[in-house]
Amino acid sequence: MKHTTFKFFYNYEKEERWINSMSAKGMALVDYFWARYVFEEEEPGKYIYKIEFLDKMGSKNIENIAYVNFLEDLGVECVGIYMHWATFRKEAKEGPFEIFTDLNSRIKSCRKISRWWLSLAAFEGAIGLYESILAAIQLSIGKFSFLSTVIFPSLIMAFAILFFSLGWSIRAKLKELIKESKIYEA
Amino acid sequence: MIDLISHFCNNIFNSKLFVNITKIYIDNYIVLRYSFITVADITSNDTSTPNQNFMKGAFLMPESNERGALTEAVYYILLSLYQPMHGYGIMQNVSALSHGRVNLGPGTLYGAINTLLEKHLIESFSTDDKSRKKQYIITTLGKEIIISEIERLNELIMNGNQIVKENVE
Repeated sequence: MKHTTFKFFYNYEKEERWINSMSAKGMALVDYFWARYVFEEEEPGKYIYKIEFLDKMGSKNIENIAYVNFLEDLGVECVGIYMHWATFRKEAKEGPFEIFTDLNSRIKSCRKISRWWLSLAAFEGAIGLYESILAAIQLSIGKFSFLSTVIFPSLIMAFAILFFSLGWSIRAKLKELIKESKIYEA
Repeated sequence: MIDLISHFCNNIFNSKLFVNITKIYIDNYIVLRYSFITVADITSNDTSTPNQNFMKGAFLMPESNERGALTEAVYYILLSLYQPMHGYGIMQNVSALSHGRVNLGPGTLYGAINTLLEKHLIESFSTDDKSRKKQYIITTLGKEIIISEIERLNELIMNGNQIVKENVE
């Protein structure tokens, strides 16, 4: 039997933990789109789930298809790809499931995610700056509208700050990994 | 006379031998260029022309034995590919070789295979059956890299054993 639920996450590690805890309770994720999760009843703990950030967007991208095919040959199933985010699962009886097992690849993957948050923040910041300048010009010619002089610029700037701070934990993790890579090779 | 020379040149440039020789030299050059940095490279102020000695080192035999260490994943993947294998085979083999210590994650394996293909240390191994599972095999360049890595590792182990033993007694 299938069950659909809506839940919103801004941290993929927390999301991963939640999906795995559901799996332990006998609810295996089978489909995923933005904040919509579809679960199917399964024996508890049958699958281990992992979330990965992909270079390219979408499940139709040729690079992503090549990657998913490669993973399938290794016994890893792709539950879904939404934008840059892919969810994979593997049967727990086949042993532990980690997508990245050495420092190099973990650093690479953290760097991708950190850059993605930063680029979102920079994008919003640029628009916010543009809106602020427009608001200043409007003010200087004596025009004042609450919506476009106050709300728009501050809302967009708030998003920029939000995206910047959401990337904080991954940047801290990246820093730790880089420190470790100065001592260990792999 | 000029015709003769140009005909001769064309023959050389089109010949398979020429292409192969160039490929070997370029491959060697790329590997050495990025794995050897000598003191002369760092201290040389003239950046416009490559250091003469360095170029010589790149095309002939290495003069310095400094080079980057391979990661465990790359080392074991290259060793596995002395026999042609597909992804799953590599994962199983590496785990068996290391008695379960090194377990390659699919993302790590995928990244490593693509980088190794790009750097020509491994290549696709074509078989007659048209299964989707792609097989790979180590190249001559890959074998050279493995041999020099084993030398490097031997040196590490010898020095380590010797110094630790001296300090125990």
